Order: sequence, then C-alpha cells, then structure tokens
Amino acid sequence: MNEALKHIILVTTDSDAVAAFNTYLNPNAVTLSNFASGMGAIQYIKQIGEADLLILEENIKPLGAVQTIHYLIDNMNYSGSILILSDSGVSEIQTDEGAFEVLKKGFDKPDLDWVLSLLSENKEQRVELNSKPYSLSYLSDLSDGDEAFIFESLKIFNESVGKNISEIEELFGKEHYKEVSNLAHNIKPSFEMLENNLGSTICDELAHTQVDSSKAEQVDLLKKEYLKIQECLKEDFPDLFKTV
Amino acid sequence: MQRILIIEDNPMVVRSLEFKLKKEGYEVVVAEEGRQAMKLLLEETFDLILTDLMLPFVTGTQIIEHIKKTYPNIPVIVLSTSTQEDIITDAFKMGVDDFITKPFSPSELSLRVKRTLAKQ
Repeated sequence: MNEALKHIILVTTDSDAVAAFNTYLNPNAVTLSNFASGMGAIQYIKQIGEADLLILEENIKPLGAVQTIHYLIDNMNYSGSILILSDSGVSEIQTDEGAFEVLKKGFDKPDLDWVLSLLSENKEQRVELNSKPYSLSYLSDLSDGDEAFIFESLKIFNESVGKNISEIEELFGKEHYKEVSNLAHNIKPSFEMLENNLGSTICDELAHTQVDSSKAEQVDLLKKEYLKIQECLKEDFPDLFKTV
Repeated sequence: MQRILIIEDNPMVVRSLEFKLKKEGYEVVVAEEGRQAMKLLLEETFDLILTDLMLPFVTGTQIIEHIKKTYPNIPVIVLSTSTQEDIITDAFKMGVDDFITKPFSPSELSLRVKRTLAKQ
C-alpha cells in the first residue's frame, strides 16, 4: 500500500454504515474496500495482504465476524487491527482468539474519529500473505489448463492494460475525468480475470464514483498495482517479454 | 454452425469469450467497437449477439436499439459488470434476452448461450 494512504476493509451489508464511512473518511487519506461477506474479505486479504484496519459486521452471513476472525487468525496468521461492527451495545466481543472492540452501529463522526485514531497507532508495515499479485485460477478453469491460451491472455493483459493505464494517467493529467472513468470501467474485468482485487476495486472506484483531482492517489495506486503484476509476470513468464 | 457476434472492447474478455465459444463449436466473429458491429450486421448473418454496453463510437444501448428494430429475430445477450444494474434494467426494457456478468463464469456462459439459442 501507498504509505500515505491508509486502507480499511469494511465487511458489512449495512448501507448506512458504508455511507457514513464514505461521508466522513477523507479519500486522500483512507481508501475503503467494502465486502458483503467475510469470504470476500478473506479472498481479498489472501491477495493483497492485511489492511490497516479490518471492520467486520458481527452477524453477517454466511460467515459471521467471530468465524471470520477465527479463520483469519488461525489459518492466515492475521495480525492486523480488527473491530467488530455490532448493534448489541457491548463494548467488546470475546472470541477464542481474544477480545475485540466494538464499533456500535449508528455510529457518528466522533466514533469514526476514534476509528481513525486506531489507524494512526497502527504504523507497522504489513506483511503480505500472498506475495503474488495475480492468480491464474480463473484463466486455467476457463480453458481447462490450456497453457497457450493462458500465455496469450497474460500477453494481452500486459500489453492492453499497460497501454490503458498510460492513457488513464494522461487523461487524468488533462482533467478528462469522464474518459478516465470509462477506461477504468473497461479494464476492471482484466484485473478480475487475474484475480487482483486491489486493481479491480480501484477501477470500480474510478468507474463509479465522481473522478476529480482528489483521485490522484488511486490512479497512482492502480499503476503501481499493474507494475507489481508485470514484475511478477517477468519472473514467472520471461517469454512474455521477449521481443521478436 | 451457429454464428455468434461478440461486440466488446476489452481484449482479454474478447479472447476468453472467443476461446470458450469456439471450443463449444460456435463460429465467432468479433467487433471491437460499435461502428464495426453495425457494418458486420449489414454484411453478415448471426444467430446470436453478445454485446457490451459501454463501447466506443456507438454505445451498446444504441446497438441494441438498432438490432431490435432492424433484426428483431436475433437474440441479444448483454455483457455487463455487476455494478450496471440500472443500465441492465434499461437493456431488458429494450428487449434483450439475457445478460452475463464480466468476467463470466465459463459454465454460466455455456448455459445462457445454449438456452438463448434454443429459444429461437
């Protein structure tokens, strides 16, 4: 993650909670990834590593906060800060992995200031659990493991997404924000096909929220994520980069 | 052999659709933008059209409108992202037959294509 930009993963289907986060958080300081299930967050964390703060709705289905915490800590050695979003009125919830503080539903600005203070206490660089920023599972499933198809798809990713990201940078610089949104919308499935959730999330944000000069960090982060994938592909598939 | 026209501008999505549909025995023709699609529709015949909604030059909505007016017997499946609910609803109002979310599930693609063609 970009050092200046803190990252919160919020697992909830409570649209009021998501709206409150989006209202109160400064998008230049904090990026928010929202998931409607614990499983979605687990997959995401497997790919990008720990966030600066993970907030889990207590009774979300099918995997509640307690079960998600159990999975993350026991199976993935998750060590980041976790809060539980609950309407139960208790200040903390006890699990087999310890007690976790509660953010009460219906929270307001002072409560979120407290959440943000947790972020500033949490300055340690997170260790990525999965060093690879991409996965070939989707392409492999789609093609029944056809290596030529997978290779060709990676080549297309490398060339087309690289070109589109350069265009996004250029258009952003020229304040052509509508075209930035369109291009982000166009390349989102490419990140999804390589199961890179961070790239997909950023594309989604650029495609479906107001783009203006405040999104510079996101554009930068998207490029960095692409370059991270490209670096990894260079190591894993050097033939992709051979010029004829 | 049944012929499918894919109208889509993400090359990775195009390649995946092409690979999967050819493997299932369909003949596939690709248009990467709306104008090219309009030209192909004039010159060739198709049994099914898979189209994106956000395309350069001529939008997917304009293409659907054109197809439903000019070639009402060709079924249309919309390729969408999960965040385009309003646009998908509008597309259904225009008479599209089905939609598939990108990136598509291979088995879902097969089923929806077969089902739509079988309705013909």
